[in-house]
Amino acid sequence: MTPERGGVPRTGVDALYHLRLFVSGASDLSARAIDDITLLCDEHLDAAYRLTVVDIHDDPAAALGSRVHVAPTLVRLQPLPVRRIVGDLSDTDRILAMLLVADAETSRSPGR
Amino acid sequence: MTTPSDGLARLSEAEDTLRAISAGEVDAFVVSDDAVGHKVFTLETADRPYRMFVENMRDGAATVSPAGLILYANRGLAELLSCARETIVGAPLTRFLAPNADLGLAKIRGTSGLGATVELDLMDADARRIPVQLGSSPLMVDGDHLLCVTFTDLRTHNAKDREIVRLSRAQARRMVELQSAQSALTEQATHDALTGLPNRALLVERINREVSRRRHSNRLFAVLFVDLDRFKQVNDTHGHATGDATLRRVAGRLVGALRPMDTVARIGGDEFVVLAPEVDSQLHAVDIGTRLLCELARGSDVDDGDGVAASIGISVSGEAHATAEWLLHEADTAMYEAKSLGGRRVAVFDAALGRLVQERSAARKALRSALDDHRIIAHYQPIVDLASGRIAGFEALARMVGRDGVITPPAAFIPAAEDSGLVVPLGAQMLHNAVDDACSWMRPSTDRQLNIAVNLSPRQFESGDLPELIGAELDRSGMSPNRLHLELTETAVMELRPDLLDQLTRIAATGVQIGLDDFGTGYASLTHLRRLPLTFVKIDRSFVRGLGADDEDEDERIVAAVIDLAANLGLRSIAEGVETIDQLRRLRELRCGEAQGYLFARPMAPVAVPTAIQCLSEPRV
Repeated sequence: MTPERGGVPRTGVDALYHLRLFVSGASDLSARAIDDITLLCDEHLDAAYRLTVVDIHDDPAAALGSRVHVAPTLVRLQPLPVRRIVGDLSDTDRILAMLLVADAETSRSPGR
Repeated sequence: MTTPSDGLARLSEAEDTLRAISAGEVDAFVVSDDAVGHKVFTLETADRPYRMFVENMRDGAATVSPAGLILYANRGLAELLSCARETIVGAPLTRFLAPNADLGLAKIRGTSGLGATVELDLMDADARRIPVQLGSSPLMVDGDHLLCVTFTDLRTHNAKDREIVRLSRAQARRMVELQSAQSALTEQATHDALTGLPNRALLVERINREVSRRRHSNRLFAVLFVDLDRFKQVNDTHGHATGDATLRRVAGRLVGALRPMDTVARIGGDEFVVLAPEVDSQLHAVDIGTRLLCELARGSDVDDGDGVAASIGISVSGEAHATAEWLLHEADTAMYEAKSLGGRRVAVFDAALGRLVQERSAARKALRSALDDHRIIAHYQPIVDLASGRIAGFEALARMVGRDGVITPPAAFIPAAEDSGLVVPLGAQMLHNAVDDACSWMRPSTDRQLNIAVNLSPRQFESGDLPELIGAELDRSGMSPNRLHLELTETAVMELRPDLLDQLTRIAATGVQIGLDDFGTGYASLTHLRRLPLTFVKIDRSFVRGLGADDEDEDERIVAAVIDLAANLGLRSIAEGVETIDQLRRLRELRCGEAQGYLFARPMAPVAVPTAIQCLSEPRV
């Protein structure tokens, strides 16, 4: 699998969006998910992202560690909070809305 | 602890997962199993993993044509029958059944439903009977009705049920639900709900792992304790939602600025700890700390945030016997040192800091026992009205009486009191003493009204009930509120916190007078002077010292300006530290209202006060 994609090589400090896509081998759904997210990132996230693709057959522990139980699942690691988007990634508007959301609803938590 | 919104996020993720499964958008499932480790299940659509799975399962599996010929056999079936796969594929299934088995097979064929099972005996290459459980289900491939058959060896099969080999969507759903719930529990136990960072328990575990690794190598590691400066104010001023957003932003920036091997944990309200497993030296650890401070401090339109100031304390692994708790304690101590030096800095724990901490802790202990035994008393220094020359009142000054009767001046215990928060009960005791003493002096001659000034620490405002406490003291003693004067240092009001302003306003509304102590030494702005409900300022002794001396022009100009400023704002001015006749004369010329200092009297024990009131009418001018 491609270890990392992004417009230019970026460090974790600068990349605004750190995404990890969990797929299952070379299945149709996996291939489609990789295509979809790469296109979406290139077109809408400018160069400010880092995308890693992980095959859950190769590294099931990594999937479970990210609380991912099914593939394909896209995980937004940065910015926090971590978000998971399961299944089809072809609806660009919906995916973008979920990736870019300012997390207003989670800001309401009482914390401490 | 899970916050409601965190729970909501989980729930919506679970819903999203179930929706995706139902819509056929998902083709694989990861399952964690204590016995066999992590396992991946795939739906039929994802061909490769499915085949691998069937191929590698321990049970025998075969597909059988409508005519009863075996079209496919997996490795498990070949092993079960002790013969090569080539001899199985293409042969009729009946060849491998024991003579009595036909009946069972007929029963299977008669069942149209899924998952029909029957127990029968297989016959292996050496004609040995092998008891198996045979499961079958119809399979439609390219229009052909095939039979999918599995063979479970009953000789090795124990009571434990075999795991599911094929997943229906319904099963997949249930599995996902169970797994989500389980891992959510694990996550909750080891991670902080607000930021998703590891919590204290996980951090301690990781530090301890580093500690035990260190026993086998000379590698150094560092623990950095990061505490936001004045975070409580963010919460108080802007609300918890803003506070929470700030904490998340801090978490993101810390993670972003560190190496993948480093751990960032949130262990308390605004307390973060970084575990840096491989550092070259103490200097390296300080570099990391400095980098984190810069990263936190920068403004950014990226995460929509202002910079955040923090204090960082560092402890570098050194002693072989250090434990996680000990390292955290050292880093915490160093962090407090950074904070007490003004914040926005990094401090490293070392032996000298350790000694200092021990001294402070001894001072705290002494102070605590003095408070318990009521060995904190007030001494009083007269404040003289410069126009009449008579005593206007007294300032109460704290003294600690040792068990041996030796009296300790405040410089020796006030810093410890401020650090530890003991200044709150200390302040309350001082107020109580001063009010009692003042009432006893005024009783004999009611025509003589004396003011009593008591110092306040900013920490006394933290609980929010100071106005009530003061009100209760006044009620109890019957003292007239305008006789009570409270003194605040300039630094205490430097940042005009709304809660502090609110409490001061409530106190002032009762008639109690409030003034600024050590005026001129801090940075209180003129705006503060106008917004605070003040009635007096005290001119710091450092300016008064230069009065009357020929070469201290500047001090004189400052004192003159302060008195003018105070007068223009309608405030009385009181000069502190008056020691010479020249100073007194100059203050009178500058129309300063009141003064105190050794020239009039040193602070005295309460018993000496009534005599002083009678004797001290006019200083020896």
